[in-house]
Amino acid sequence: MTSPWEDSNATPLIRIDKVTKRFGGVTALDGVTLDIYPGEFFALLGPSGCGKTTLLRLLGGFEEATGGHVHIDGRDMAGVPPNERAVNMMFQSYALFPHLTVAGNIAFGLKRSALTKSAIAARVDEMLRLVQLEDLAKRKPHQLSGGQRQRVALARALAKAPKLLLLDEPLGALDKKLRQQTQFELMNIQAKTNTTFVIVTHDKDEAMTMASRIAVMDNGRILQVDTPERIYQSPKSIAVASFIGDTNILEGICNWSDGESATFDWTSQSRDMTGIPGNALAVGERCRCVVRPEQVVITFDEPTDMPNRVQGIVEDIAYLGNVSTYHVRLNDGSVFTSQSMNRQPLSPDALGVNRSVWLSWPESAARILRP
Amino acid sequence: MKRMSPFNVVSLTVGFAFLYLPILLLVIYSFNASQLVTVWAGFSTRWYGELLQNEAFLDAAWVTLKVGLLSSVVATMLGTMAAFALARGGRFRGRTLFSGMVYAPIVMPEIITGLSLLLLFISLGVPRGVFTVVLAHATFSMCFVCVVVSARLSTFDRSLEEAALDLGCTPWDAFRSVTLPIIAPAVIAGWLLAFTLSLDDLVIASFTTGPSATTLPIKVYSSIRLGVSPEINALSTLIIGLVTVGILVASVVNKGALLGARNT
Repeated sequence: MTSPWEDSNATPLIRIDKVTKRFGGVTALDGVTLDIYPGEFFALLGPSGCGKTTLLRLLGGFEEATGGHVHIDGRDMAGVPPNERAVNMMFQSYALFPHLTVAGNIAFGLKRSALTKSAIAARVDEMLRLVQLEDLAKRKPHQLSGGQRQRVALARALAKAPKLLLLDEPLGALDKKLRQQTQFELMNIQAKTNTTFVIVTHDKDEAMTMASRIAVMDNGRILQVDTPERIYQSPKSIAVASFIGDTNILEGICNWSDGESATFDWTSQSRDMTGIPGNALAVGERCRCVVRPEQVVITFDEPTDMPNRVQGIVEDIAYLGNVSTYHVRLNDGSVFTSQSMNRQPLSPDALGVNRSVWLSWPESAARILRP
Repeated sequence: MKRMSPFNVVSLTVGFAFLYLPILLLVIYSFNASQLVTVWAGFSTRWYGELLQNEAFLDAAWVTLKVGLLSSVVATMLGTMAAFALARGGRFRGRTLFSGMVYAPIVMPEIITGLSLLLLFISLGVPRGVFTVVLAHATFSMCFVCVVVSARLSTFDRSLEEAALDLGCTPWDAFRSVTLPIIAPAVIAGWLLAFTLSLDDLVIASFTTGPSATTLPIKVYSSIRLGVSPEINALSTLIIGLVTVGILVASVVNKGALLGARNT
């Protein structure tokens, strides 16, 4: 099955076309263009202040674009107020109505539709079952735990069966353990209801776990839109690579490239290294190379069969149980990170601090990018 | 709990005595059987009975009630609207000036408020009576409503209104079915405050009223000048009771509102 974003015949549900949003002198969104397809679980990821929440509020109708167009389901959304959009939003604060019960909150939107009383009651029951809150229908929001409130907010937002559900940091207020559990619940509910989800988050693990595609944003621009695997493995810029996970960055000058692979002169080591170019690179151009720590192998002997290798001294070891992180100091003083699974229990003399080791990585693990 | 030091016990006792002894004395003497206010001649509810026979007092009570109800309703509406403009208007031109001016009548000497209103009514040629007193009371009590409602709005989560819009409400429907129920305790507390303020106002009412509308405080004040009758004591006791109940209800309702705010 081809994914809709790779199929040129697929019609996007949301078309965001060169959208700009300015608040006074501050530019929150700067020419954002983005297509989101029906049934996607789409994540807007970025640090706070990058414009992701503004983009979400624009889709919900709470902000008006300064320039550009937003189309939802083929209709231009300019001037359409929130109550006339087939879009619902789950707010970061949940925004549950404190004077209404759980059932009253879920029924709130339904009462403003053409449904009969009995149809509303049936739909409320259905939503309560969906989020497993059947027993708490008569409680008020302040009698619920954080996780329960989050589920009421979700049920309320889904009750009108919107084409598109917007979620603003939906798991931000939950503790870590509950958050991980809720991620899978959200994915299940998204699949069950077949609703398009657009989620805003600053947590890359959350976006990686749940999303079908991720848009990485910074300073009001979209840096890259791709599947989680491609975002992680083939970042298009240093900013994306360093925002998504830890990474080693090598600086150098490109000295050969055929588009499929490239070599560069690693300035601090004066060595030729190979990698895969992420952008078009010209020979003689300055470049940076990113290598993920878990791709770096540590050995005592020089791995002569590996094209990319460097010697260093183990400076410290962070033992995290399932994995260990090694910080290795190179001869130029910089620190290189390597991470490996602890498959066997670690013996203390195996790899100690101050031992001289070799680090190596395959060509496929190195992405060469413009600086 | 820590025991209070003797010094604290004494200062508390003296303070409360200073505040409440005169009122207590008045309440006790309202049950005096004697015609003379300062001579105790046994317990009686005679003056309460005579009070109910006194047409002039009953008329004044009716006028006061009418003025209180009308002015407090007007003040509540205006004060709530002003609070919304201040809380939601953003940084509009003249916001600081406007907020300062809303609060000014609270600190303005009543005699100046009264005098300026009188001058206004005279220059506009408005005949003085119940209508002008209602306007005057609404003017100064709306500031108090505005303060109470503003305090509630400052902790109000705007996303509640956005959620209502998102779920299909028009802006008016969102205000009616979400905002108003949530801030209702503050609005009711403001209304009770405005009503109580109107009930016991003498200065502004005496400036802005005409011969047709004598409020209870004016009536009491003018009777006092002819000598304190035990009837006045009985009347004052009733007013104290009414005001106390009003303030108690207002604070209980407002406390509920604050608790509600904390839970959102």
